[in-house]
Amino acid sequence: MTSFSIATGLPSISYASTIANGGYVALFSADGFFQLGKINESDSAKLFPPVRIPRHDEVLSTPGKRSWLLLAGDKIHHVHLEASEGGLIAVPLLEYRLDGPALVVSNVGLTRHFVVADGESRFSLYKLGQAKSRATYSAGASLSQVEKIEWNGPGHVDVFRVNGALERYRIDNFLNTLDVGDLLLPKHYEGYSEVTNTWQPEGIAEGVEPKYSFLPLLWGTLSSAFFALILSLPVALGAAVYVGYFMTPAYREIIKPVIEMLAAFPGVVIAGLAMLWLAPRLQEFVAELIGMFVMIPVTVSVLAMLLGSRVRSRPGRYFSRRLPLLLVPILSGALYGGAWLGSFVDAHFFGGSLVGWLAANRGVSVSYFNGLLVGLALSVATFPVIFSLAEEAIFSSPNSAAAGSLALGASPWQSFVDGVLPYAASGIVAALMLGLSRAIGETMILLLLSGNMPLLTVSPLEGIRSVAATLAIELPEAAVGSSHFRVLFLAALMLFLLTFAINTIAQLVKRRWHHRYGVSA
Amino acid sequence: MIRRLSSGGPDPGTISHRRSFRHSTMMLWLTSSMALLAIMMLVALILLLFWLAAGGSSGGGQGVAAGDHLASIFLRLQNGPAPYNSEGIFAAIVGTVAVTLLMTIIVSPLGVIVAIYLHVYARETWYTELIRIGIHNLAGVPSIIYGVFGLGFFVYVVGGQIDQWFFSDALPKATFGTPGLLWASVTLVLLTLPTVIVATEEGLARLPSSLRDGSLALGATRFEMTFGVLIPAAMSSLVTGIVLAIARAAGEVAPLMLVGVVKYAPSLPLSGQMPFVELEQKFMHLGFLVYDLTLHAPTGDGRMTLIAAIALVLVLVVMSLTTFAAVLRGRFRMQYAQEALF
Repeated sequence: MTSFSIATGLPSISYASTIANGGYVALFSADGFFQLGKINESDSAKLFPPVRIPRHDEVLSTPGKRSWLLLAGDKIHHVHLEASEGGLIAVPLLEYRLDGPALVVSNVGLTRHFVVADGESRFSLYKLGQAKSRATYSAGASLSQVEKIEWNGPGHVDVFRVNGALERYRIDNFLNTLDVGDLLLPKHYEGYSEVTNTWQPEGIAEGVEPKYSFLPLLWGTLSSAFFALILSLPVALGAAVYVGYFMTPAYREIIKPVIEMLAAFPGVVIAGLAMLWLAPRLQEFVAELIGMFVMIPVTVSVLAMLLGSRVRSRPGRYFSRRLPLLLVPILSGALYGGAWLGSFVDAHFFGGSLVGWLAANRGVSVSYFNGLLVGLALSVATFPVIFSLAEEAIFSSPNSAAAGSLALGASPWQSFVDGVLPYAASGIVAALMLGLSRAIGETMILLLLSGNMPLLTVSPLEGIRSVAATLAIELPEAAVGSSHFRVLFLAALMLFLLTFAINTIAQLVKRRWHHRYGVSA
Repeated sequence: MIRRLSSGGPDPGTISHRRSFRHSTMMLWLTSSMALLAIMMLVALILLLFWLAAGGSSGGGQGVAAGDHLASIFLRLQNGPAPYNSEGIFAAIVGTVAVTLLMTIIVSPLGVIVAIYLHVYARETWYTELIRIGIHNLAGVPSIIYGVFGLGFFVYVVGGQIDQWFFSDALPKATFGTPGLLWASVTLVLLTLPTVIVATEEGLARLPSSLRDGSLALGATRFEMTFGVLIPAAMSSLVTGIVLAIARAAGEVAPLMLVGVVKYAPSLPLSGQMPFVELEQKFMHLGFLVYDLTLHAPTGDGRMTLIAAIALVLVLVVMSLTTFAAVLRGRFRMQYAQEALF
């Protein structure tokens, strides 16, 4: 056992405590100074320069040992440590205003609440991080001459008097409560240097303030659905138009079920494939993917323009039947060409790795599991939903208007746009909404591929965390009845209401369409 | 007008006509290439699965080795893979079959009865319309929500109550108040109920009204008409609904993670005595195994092959069930084609 001493330079030390981060000691001076010391392995301490904090009478360390309550008359200052350029500094986080002078303050067990006895013989219960008191109880007797107070379990406060007497007061239990602000509004959390929206439930690290902001989760759910729809919508709607409108019914009977076979891939299988096979390759192939994405429509459009005049003389059946066969080499060529173009651009302009270039030159942070990966996998899952319903809507629309339009010399596409689309539009919208709802609710793909990082970012190259995946991860481990448990049920309810609203609108749209045109899908 | 007719230049009408046809051709090609892309995606996914299941990721020759590997997929099903899970995937197959079977036993009568009520007994009011919208809506609710509901209601409320009534000796150790096979099956029942109801009701709706009227005219009660005439006639669409429900349930993992699937169950959820299943036991599941192996198994070629093999089995099972249902539905529609709309 060794000891050492070091001069702090503070006028006096009123309170000292260790810090949860370990190795640090916090020193308080009642005159309004705070000093942080780091105790090294070599049994010496390095002191950081003192910082001014409010003057105070008494200090109480909060349960996580990451912040302190300073009693100063009828105010309680909540001071926490923030990372700054010079290291950790103590900064006032919040101020709790009392109606009377605070006499004694005590933590409520290990929960993030504290109880104050004031000169007006009242107990006030506060939640850390919330300026307004949760509840105030009148004690009935004067609370001066009190040595300490203690909240023992649910329902009562014990008061220890200076003369050795113990009094017990019954109070209601207001612990474990969260309000809308905790869930939806940005907050200044303990240890953070700015106001943030953060999801970090209890149990991740001992004593850290639990943070239950829904926004990162909601954002993750919606952004992943957005990425998925961006990728699957053009393909699904294009395929639906072709199969439902251009293709002859005899071929449609075969092709439609074949395309719908994509629905037979369970989410977990898509996710597993994407994680094991696609994820390790994805970052190198971002440029190639973009190339393919651009080259397919460009190549096909250009070739259609060039060869289109031949088709014009024989419109309709011949080409609509055999076109996919003709397109196999064209499409393969476009895919290959797109990949080649992508890698060419990649090699010549971005040093061989677009993602690496973005990370180095544009400061884009890139994670292994990211929105792009999720979007790709999720688009496979949402594709069959959108295709199947949109195709049904197009195929079962009355075709008399289109036939009339064709007979009057309009082109097939004009007939589609003017004669079929008005009827099928509501069905297509319904298909889109059901696809969206499928993307919002998909769990396994997000669980495996999103990295489960609750970030609020627009970049498709960073991790995300969705509501559904959060439920799957955290619900089995949340303590029954805890705040965390109930917040998760609330999140589930929110997800349910979201999809319920989308589905109901889709159903109503579809029903109206059915009633109007008397078609049965 | 007059100027256009008299001038010698190109006819604007013809130009716009030509342009519109060129535009039309372009859209035809574009949409067709999207359809082709979808088919290519499907083929690529299936080939990828086969390739991985055949040990393709380990590189080397694809000729003879692939055949050997493909054969060994099915051997694996029997013997089980050594490295990760010494029990093999037999337990997962049993778990999957048990939970799906139990679900089928519960959902079939339930779904059919609801469909019969809606189609035969209930009058068309705003109320039945509401029920129908609700049922269609249930089909779109994310599966994880069913899991959360199963955990909150079946496990904690119903299971907790059952424990207090019948298993109070064992408390505080929960018997039914904890995730298990029964609650997983019941959760899947909720998940697949809309599928069965919609398919059955559609089948009943497609039956010619002469069947109804004829049997009623011959003096059958509504009950006799329903169970003696309508149900036998609509049997294939009934089966279609159930098969589709099984196909849907076989691929679901997320809800089961909350209500009873575990990474490793020490014993099979079967017993030698009367109901032959241990309803309160936790169980293993193929889909969950894919998830768990993907996330936790040590890396190596064996893992990839195994995951792909299990995934392939799942996909093929779901595909064949879906195809079977489609064929059945097609045959049913043909049977009553003269009454159908098209």
